[in-house]
Amino acid sequence: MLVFINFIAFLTVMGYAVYLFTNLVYSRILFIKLGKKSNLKEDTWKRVQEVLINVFGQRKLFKDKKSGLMHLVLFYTFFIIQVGLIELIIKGFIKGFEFPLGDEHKYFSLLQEWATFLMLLAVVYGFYRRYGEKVKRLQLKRDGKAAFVYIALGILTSSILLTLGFEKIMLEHEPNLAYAPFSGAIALLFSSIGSTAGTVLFYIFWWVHMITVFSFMVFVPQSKQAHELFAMFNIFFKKSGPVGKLRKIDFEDEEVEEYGVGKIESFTQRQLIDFYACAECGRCTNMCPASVTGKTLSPMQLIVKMRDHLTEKGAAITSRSPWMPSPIIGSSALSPGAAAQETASTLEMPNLIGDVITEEELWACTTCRNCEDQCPVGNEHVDKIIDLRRYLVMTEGSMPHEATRYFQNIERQSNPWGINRKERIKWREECDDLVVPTVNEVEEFDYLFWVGSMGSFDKRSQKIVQSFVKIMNAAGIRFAVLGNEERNSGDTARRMGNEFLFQQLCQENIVNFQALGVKKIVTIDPHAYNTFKHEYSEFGLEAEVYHHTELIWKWIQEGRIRPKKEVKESIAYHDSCYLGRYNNIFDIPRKILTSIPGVKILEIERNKEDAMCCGAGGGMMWIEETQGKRINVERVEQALQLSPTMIGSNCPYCLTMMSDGTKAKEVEEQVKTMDIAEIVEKSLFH
Amino acid sequence: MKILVLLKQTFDTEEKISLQNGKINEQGVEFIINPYDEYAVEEAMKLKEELGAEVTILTVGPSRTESALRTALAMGADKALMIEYNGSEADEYVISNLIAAAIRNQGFDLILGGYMAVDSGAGQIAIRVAEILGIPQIAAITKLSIVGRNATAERDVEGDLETIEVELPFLATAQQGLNEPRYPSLPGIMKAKKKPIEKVLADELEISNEERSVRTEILDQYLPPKKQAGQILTGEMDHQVSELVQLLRTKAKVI
Repeated sequence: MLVFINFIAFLTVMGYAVYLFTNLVYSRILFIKLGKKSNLKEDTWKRVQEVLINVFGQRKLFKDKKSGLMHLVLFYTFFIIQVGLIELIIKGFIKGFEFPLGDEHKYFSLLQEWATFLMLLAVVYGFYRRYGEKVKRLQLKRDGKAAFVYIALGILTSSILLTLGFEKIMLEHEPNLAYAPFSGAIALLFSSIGSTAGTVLFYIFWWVHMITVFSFMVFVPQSKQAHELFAMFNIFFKKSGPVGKLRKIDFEDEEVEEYGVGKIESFTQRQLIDFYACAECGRCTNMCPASVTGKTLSPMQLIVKMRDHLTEKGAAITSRSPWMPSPIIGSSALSPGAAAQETASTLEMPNLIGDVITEEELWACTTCRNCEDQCPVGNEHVDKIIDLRRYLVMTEGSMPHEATRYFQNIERQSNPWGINRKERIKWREECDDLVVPTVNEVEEFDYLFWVGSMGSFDKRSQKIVQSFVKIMNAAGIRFAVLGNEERNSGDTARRMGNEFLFQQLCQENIVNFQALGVKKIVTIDPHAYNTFKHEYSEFGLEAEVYHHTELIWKWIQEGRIRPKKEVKESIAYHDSCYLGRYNNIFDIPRKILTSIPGVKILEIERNKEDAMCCGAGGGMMWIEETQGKRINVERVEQALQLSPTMIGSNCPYCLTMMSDGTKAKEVEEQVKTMDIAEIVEKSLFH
Repeated sequence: MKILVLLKQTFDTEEKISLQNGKINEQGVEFIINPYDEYAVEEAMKLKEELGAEVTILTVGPSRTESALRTALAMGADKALMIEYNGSEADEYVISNLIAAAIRNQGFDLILGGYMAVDSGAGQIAIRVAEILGIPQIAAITKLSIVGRNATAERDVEGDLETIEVELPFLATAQQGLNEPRYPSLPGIMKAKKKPIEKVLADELEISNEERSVRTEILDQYLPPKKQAGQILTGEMDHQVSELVQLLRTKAKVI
């Protein structure tokens, strides 16, 4: 009879929990479906690989080794415990039930015991990381929900061991310390209480466990733990192709009234999964150059705020409650969105841009992709920020004044300063001794050298161009420049949200390239490099694209140039975002530097994938940085810790930022700033 | 409220001027809205957003000026009036007469313009229009607020600030600092394509022959002489001073 009552009680609790869980998950799926349909390329195998590496391999998590190990333990023990759960449930109705594995059951028992114990250890360690060690990124959002996870998982795991321990007393089994070490120890400790008390305690802890399991199940979709459900799908559905490549807008479509994203449901469904996949681990914000230097933008908060907004708005649109059971979760301080949700139908929704996310946040992003590179669940922050910028720029015409001026200067003179476009080639006057033909001055050329706006007009960047020309002359390369026919690449305009201007420039440039029969393009600008290489192809460009460092290394290997002269410098090498994180070119610049006699490379603490942005990307070069510390100063300080004699870089924007940074620190006399091309040139000729 | 903005299309400020047969060559030149007129357009847009208004843009010039009107319409103006005039011999006197004739009795409450055009730099037309129409004018304003029929404007007077109160209708010209002109949105550009531009030939406007005759004449146009490289004097201070005095006398001929 008691067993029957127990069974009915269990079914009731489980049924209710499963009902709530499916309801909550289904609501969130409906919210995601409010988004626009995403065009997914059918590369299923590649997607499966991504899942294997990042979900089952937990690769990104190990960027923080301690937390990575903790999470790996939680992840794998979770599956073992699920299997154990089935046996544990049946034990509640069939006294002493075991999976029918015969003598082999002891191995299952061993596995389950250790999995449970390790999970408990991982939970305690996780608690310590957050509340004892106070790891900075885990303090970004401190709420009841985070604490609840540790408490629930702590009870969940210890109640398994206690249930199994008291079961042994109930059944008067001799504890086997070899194969059931933890529950065995509990059974030994309490062996004196007798079988009746053991039975009572068995059922008490059995129920404690079951209630914790089901409470946690209901809790998961309503908290950051939703990542347990959504992260895998997020990684599977992730945008394929080159990282950071932006979505093309079709301007031919005259039906469109909104360019970019002005309301949450204008994101694609794939983008919306990101929000529920977020585990609030703070790794993104921890690395964000804007956050680090005290600006309002925090990639994690960006995602979290948009997630809460989606939940709130989705609930209003679909008339579904996202918080259940509402008397507990809905009214408690656990759910900040709950109160707003109740009034959602009567009150107007906050605006996505302005109320949920401020313009100040949107114009602080350097598009460096450090956040995306860190994210264990594969979230893409940058394309969302750019979608929001697109709305501001193209639909609203609202942006910082510097951005307006930038666009006008590009439109009129095709360079950021608005300098007369007929002066683009003027830099050549400085190099009488060099061979720099324009495309009209030669019959044939192998490489089109894209000088870029920085290289053409900026005094300091012109020096990089001169050095690279000298190198090409020495290597006997047949190249030509476009001269005054060269336009802006449009990359910065695109990153600033002006897709319309980008496409105009892109199409003009491609027509130009095609008319000249350009097959290979080389540039000193990683931003132009990235957009030519990965983004122009969508508009019809078919050409090989090189960054100057790639070719310099090639020519050194081919023996076309031999850096022989000693360059006695200790060089702190700064990776640019668009060559590094965007194009995975980390080794080539280092190999070049290593090949120069006398050069000692110093690695800044944040290097390669983790290298911090100089502060110029995403159009921030042209927008006054008023909030917090200057990013370039922070980056230069990181380099100065190594006491270098020089800071080396591979991008004209980075070089400007580094050199301004050394000036701000008043060390420009002691610490030179140079591009790799200039350093190589020193080794060839001086 | 009815607002009129006077607008001139000029060379982009970065264009290099070249002469052909004694006249300014317009070949391959990038044209923009005169930057000061752009402030005037923006101010009209702000007043429209704040108080509600119908904004008309007016220009005098050849057919190429239509693109400047489209830009102003894309910024949010409602309609445009273009006085087609191809003769380059018109001076400020004639043009202001043409404008006054075109807008007289149309009931504009406020007329805005730039305080000068970056090409000719004369700064006369808007002021002349106000004089002809007999309405008050405030030149080079940096702030404007309107409550009912009363307006308060601040104007830049050589580094000082003057606050002026005036009643509608009046004319004001915009100085830098009045606002930051907006960037036209894409929907704005699309809508501008469908907004009306009324075109009138200058000859069709009813003004007397006297009002049609220029009061000034351009005798010659030439480019400024190329900047010579500077000369750095060296040697003893006494020697440098005497050399400087001698050069000022013989070479520069200023003393």
